[in-house]
Amino acid sequence: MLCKLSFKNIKKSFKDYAIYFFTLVLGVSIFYVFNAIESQTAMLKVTSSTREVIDLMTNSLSAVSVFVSFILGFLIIYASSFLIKRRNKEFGIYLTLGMSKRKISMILFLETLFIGVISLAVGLVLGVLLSQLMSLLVANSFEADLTSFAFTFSSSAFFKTLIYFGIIYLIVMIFNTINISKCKLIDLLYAYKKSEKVKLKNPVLCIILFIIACVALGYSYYLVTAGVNKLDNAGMIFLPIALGAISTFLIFFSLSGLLLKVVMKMKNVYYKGLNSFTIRQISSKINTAVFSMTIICLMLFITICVFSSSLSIKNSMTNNLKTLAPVDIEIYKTLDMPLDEADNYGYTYEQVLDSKLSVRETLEKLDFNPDLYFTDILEFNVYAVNDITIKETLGTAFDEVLK
Amino acid sequence: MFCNVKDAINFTFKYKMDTERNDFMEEILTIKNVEKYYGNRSSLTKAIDDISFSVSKGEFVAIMGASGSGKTTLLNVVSTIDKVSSGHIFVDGIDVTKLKGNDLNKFRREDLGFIFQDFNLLDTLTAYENIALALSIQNVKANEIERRIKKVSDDLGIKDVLKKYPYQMSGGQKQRVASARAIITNPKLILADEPTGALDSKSSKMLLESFNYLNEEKQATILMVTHDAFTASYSNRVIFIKDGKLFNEIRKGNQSRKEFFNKIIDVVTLLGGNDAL
Repeated sequence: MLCKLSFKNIKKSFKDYAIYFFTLVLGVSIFYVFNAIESQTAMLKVTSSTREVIDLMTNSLSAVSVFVSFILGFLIIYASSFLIKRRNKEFGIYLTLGMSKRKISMILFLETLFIGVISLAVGLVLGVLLSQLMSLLVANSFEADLTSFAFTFSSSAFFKTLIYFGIIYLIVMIFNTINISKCKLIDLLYAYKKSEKVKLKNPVLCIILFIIACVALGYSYYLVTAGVNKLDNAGMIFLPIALGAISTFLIFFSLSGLLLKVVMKMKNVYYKGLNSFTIRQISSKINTAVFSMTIICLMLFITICVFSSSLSIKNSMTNNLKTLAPVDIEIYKTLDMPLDEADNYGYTYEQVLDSKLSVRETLEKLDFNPDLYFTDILEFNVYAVNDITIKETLGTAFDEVLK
Repeated sequence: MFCNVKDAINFTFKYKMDTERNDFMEEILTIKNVEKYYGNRSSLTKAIDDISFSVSKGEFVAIMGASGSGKTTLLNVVSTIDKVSSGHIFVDGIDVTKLKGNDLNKFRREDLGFIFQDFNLLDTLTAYENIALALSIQNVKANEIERRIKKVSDDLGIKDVLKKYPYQMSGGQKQRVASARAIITNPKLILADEPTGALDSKSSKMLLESFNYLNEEKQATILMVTHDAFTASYSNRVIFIKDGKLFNEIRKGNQSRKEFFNKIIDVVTLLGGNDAL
């Protein structure tokens, strides 16, 4: 009966569950995709230095995935407790019919299990498909050749996803049980009748806080952009980070009070049409979601920064490579070694003789005609002295300087 | 109508006498010095202020009072939805204010039937399943459930809606399904909170006739909270509450429903006019 009840609940309240389910599926698939990169890149044919970079990347990705799993866990717990809140009345009815809280927890447990198993299955299938796309992307950004593309399945990422999400679902179940055991029947039955508590903040305080927060946010942005020279040691970077995070929170905290105060002052705007209703709605929504809005804002900020900076780092590295290595082959050799110094450096007589030849002559001596194989050849000499002074750099102009 | 205060007091006294005459009957519900406070020390609200009365087996009692008089709070503490601040409530000899955990669940499951103003049916279940839930929580066997639902649905005239979901039913049908759910476990006490509050007059009448049927034929004990004199007139006894205190009570006795209704209206007028309710 319990099983049937929870199954029916899911089927009937599919609309409520759809978003939750979608979140879970997305979370699972992304988690899999990022952890599967390791096994995909193992197939790429890349140079040893790129291999090092890839190893570094997969290591940092597995560290990041722990962080991501925390965020996902937080999100899932939040979403499920939101769903439970919507169903307060239903649980109230169960209790009035004499169902024990243990049984209600059991229903929730079964529902979480159903949803969890299905979302894991769907998410993993989606993740395996998406990871193929991801491998294209990774291969592209490492400029590896894609001749050896093959369908990959990472069992380590698969089990990692299973374990991490298993733990998350377990925590959700524990949270649900705690939630249920804490609530009182009267609150469950009449929760919908309770109106949201309207906490009116002091408008003057709001305005002051808003101004302070704006200044602080502006200053932290100034610190990381135009005033970047002031950050002379690494520890200083935490100042704009902390300042930015706190001021973002304060802006949202004070925004609703400020908005209300300002618009209410303008009587012909406030009482025009539905404005009073809209403004009140917006400010109460901002009021109740201060914390989550701050988190979302900061997350977006991090995402945008990381995404844009990683792309630009990649671009600049490729450009660097092009300017530093503009040609395909570069051959250099030391010319004109003085005979008397040969002993000092441990060169033989033959090596000294060889150094009298140019690169071209050496190649021709080895029966290799450079003109046959290379289209563009540029030969140039680099001169070196042991002690370089300003006199050498000036050359003939030195005499004029002396005058 | 009363010409002066003296008449009113005499009237009250007469019906107090009626109460005392019936003391020999078996008491199913006894409420003793119950108080319920809200708020903190600085602003204390006494929702129920020292109320005592009892309900005998097979009685159909209505509690009337203005909104804010504490009648719903009273029902909530009797139904263990809310807790009392002080005092005792005995249902068939058991002090329900002391019940906890599984004993409380068992009490709700076996001894109480709830009927709410807004039906409180589960939207995800059909009428049949809603009624069946009350029994399946008690681990009653499936064929026994079917037999009992068939009987109760015949009694309450909801045979045709058993396969429907709550959103496919009218308010009256929903409330009768909720009543079927409340009665099917044969509880010692049925508690109804404004059962006709969300119904039109025709559905109300049908529901109240069902209540009378359950009360007279099945000997169900019903405690109903209402602010509507018409609804209250279907009961055997009406208890009036004002500002958390017992104000008055009148019995139907051998009067017709119409006469009883007029009596109720009289007390309501005494209580502060119909506007107050």
